[in-house]
Amino acid sequence: MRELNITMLGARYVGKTSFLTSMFYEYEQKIAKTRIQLTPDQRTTSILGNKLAELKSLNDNPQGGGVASTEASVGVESIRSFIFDLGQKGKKPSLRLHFWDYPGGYVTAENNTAQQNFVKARLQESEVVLIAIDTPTLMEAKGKWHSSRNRPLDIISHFKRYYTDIKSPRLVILAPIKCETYLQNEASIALLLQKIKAEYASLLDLFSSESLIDKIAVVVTPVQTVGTIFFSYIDVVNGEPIPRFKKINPDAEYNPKNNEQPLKYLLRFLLKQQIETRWGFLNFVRDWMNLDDYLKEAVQEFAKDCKTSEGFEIIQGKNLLNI
Amino acid sequence: MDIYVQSCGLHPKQDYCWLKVIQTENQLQDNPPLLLQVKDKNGQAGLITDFYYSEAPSIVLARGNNKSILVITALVAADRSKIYGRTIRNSLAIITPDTQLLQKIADRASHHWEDFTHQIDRAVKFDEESGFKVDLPTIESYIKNISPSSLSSDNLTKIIQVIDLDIAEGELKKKNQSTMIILQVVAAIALILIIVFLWAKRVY
Repeated sequence: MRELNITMLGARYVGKTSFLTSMFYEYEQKIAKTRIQLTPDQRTTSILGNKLAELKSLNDNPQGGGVASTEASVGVESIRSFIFDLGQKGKKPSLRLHFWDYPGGYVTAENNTAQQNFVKARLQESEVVLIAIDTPTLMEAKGKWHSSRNRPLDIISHFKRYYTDIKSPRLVILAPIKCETYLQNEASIALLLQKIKAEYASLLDLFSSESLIDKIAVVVTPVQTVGTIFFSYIDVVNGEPIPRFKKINPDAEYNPKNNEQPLKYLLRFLLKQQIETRWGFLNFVRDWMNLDDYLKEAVQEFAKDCKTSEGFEIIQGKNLLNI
Repeated sequence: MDIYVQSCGLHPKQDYCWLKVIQTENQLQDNPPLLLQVKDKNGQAGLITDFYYSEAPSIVLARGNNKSILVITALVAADRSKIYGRTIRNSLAIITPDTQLLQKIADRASHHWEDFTHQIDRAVKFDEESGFKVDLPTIESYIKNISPSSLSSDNLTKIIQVIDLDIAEGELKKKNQSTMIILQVVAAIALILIIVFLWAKRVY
């Protein structure tokens, strides 16, 4: 079975784990109807199940903490991926997806070689990178807290260092999260997109460079991790920004929105690569025998469902996503 | 007895890490030896960390011939969580040849999780420089004064995973041996350098 890696990338406290959890919650609600089946292993089911309960508790108590930060039991050696097997419903899976979620502190580690090497390996080995961006600190107070919370310079510098000599196609998803407040009307949506493009301009510039433009697809997918809680204010504790949230409708239930979108983009990209690389130059045989019809059908279905408006945008690499 | 505490600070760079708490003023980042081969009561083998998930409440006692290890995870830090706006957890690891003491601590934690959590939390504070600091005397005096557990338990007991493991023969020794080998090599290189230095001084 072919194994593929997907890594989360984001500083501490931006909400990588909440995003991952909501993504799979919404998968069950919205994507599970296709011919493709994504099956988590037992450990993944159990851990993401607990995280979902934590995330739902945030709906009842917006100041209550929600999903706790990710920790490694004992250093980088103890980190395990979340495993999902992917294949046609009712058949043996043909792909194994490893989702890597790890402490955000690794992204900013200065004097810890093991943590730096861990991030390097994840970036170099992963077909897909999901960059989680804390939206309130990007948008509020004229972006004053964006640098200290989202650490864009660290993120950009990792790509500059490790995205050299890329051989196979990659997908980079910029995912602004906790977006509830900023997707209310066309003007605020446009402002969000504009801010992302401005703050990550040098990253987008790197991806569109001559040596990378054909190999990297870049997508923006704003998501609402809880759906019912909205940004309230930024508290500053010991010089650190702590965004606080409030619930506008007390009776509203946990209702994440658009979290399945990054997963749809991701599957669309991976399945397209799978179709093209499976048997190499003998792919025509697979075509002739219609062996990949279910994959092609899934890619087309995902392409139909992937949003490209309301803040969603394919910045480059459309050809890497379509068959 | 070696005591390790894992927690985090406020700054983005002060993520979860283990501190070896030698004294209140002497606390260095160091991981407890939790990547040791163990077996559970059903004979299933693996590393200690394979048997629990550190972000969920767990009590793990790994018994060895020379030393035993107790790991207690996901002890919620109430006040620091309020400040941080997100749940902060403390984890505790104790290594000692006194397995009975570890059993007593494990019993106490499993029957009085809330109180145990509070007692450990009292000893851990935010620290601007290192993220967090541990007050060793608070932990030591709490551990020393643990009396055999009464039968009554608090409500949280049922959600805690309690795991009993046996450390494979020679595993803890192996770690000590490898540390000794590194120290010996470093000492030998230092000795050679000193001899070369003295010889060069005499010749020139």
